[in-house]
Amino acid sequence: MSDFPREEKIKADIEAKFGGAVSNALVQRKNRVWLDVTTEKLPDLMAWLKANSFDHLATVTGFDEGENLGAYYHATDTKLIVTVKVKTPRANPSIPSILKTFPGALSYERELEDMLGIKIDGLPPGRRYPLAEDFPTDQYPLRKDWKTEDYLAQQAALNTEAK
Amino acid sequence: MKIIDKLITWSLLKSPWILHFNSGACNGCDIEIVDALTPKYDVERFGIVLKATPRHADVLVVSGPVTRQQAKRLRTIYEQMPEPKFVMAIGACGCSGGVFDGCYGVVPGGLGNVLPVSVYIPGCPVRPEAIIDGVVKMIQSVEAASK
Repeated sequence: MSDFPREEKIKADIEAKFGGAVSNALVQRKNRVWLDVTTEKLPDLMAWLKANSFDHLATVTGFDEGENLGAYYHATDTKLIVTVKVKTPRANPSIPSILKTFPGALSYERELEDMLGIKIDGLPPGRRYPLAEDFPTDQYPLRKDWKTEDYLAQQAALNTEAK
Repeated sequence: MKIIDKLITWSLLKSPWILHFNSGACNGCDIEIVDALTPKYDVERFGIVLKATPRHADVLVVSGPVTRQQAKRLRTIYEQMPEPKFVMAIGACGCSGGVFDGCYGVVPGGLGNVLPVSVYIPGCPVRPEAIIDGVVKMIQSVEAASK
């Protein structure tokens, strides 16, 4: 028997419910459950988590692994944290929105769009966040291949043109 | 020089009114600016008064590296100020962008690339004495130019 029966139970419940969509499920340590999920099943999984006492979305963390972009969704019941990882190919990055379940995720999803260039399906139109209104729309500062030097050179070129 | 210009210069030298603008500063410089206005340093004895609107101000005191989002607003505020007007860049960030130069959120190169700056006051954060010294030097240079 595991040292962490509650964590193991949550993991087993999710695996039983979502089966093939979930992979690499792991009880990482006390109060931490990690798992990967396919992008299509993400909204369903988040809805299930919310219905099963994980009703607080602590935060969403974007990442850039080179070939894949993606995000970690950290849902918690204030004690145990379930970290859901979704990956999406860099060539056509897209993740469905979880706003139906967690309306508070709006700013996190906008941030994923702005900073990593991940298209969020179902995100309502609105102001940019957190980048400035006049920031170039084809640049994503949190991607690993974004270089400050290139950005500065581009800005300098724009300034010279304006003068 | 016309008599009205003389009057304006005289009033500016006797009592430069300032407007404080925080454009993405960490609040360190802002605390020091407010510190310079407290009775301990007491810049009011030089007639320096903090105003609430750009339409009353002679000097725009800007702290912070100037964020991209605010650059346009900052320019609008500067344009609302009556002539003659001066701009003070406060702190390492205001002077050059500081540690934030090159960040995606800020204008490259600091305040000098957004507005014509009269006085650069470096420091992280600036000391109130440095701010007062900067204001006095600016007044002296205006005085010298008006003679």
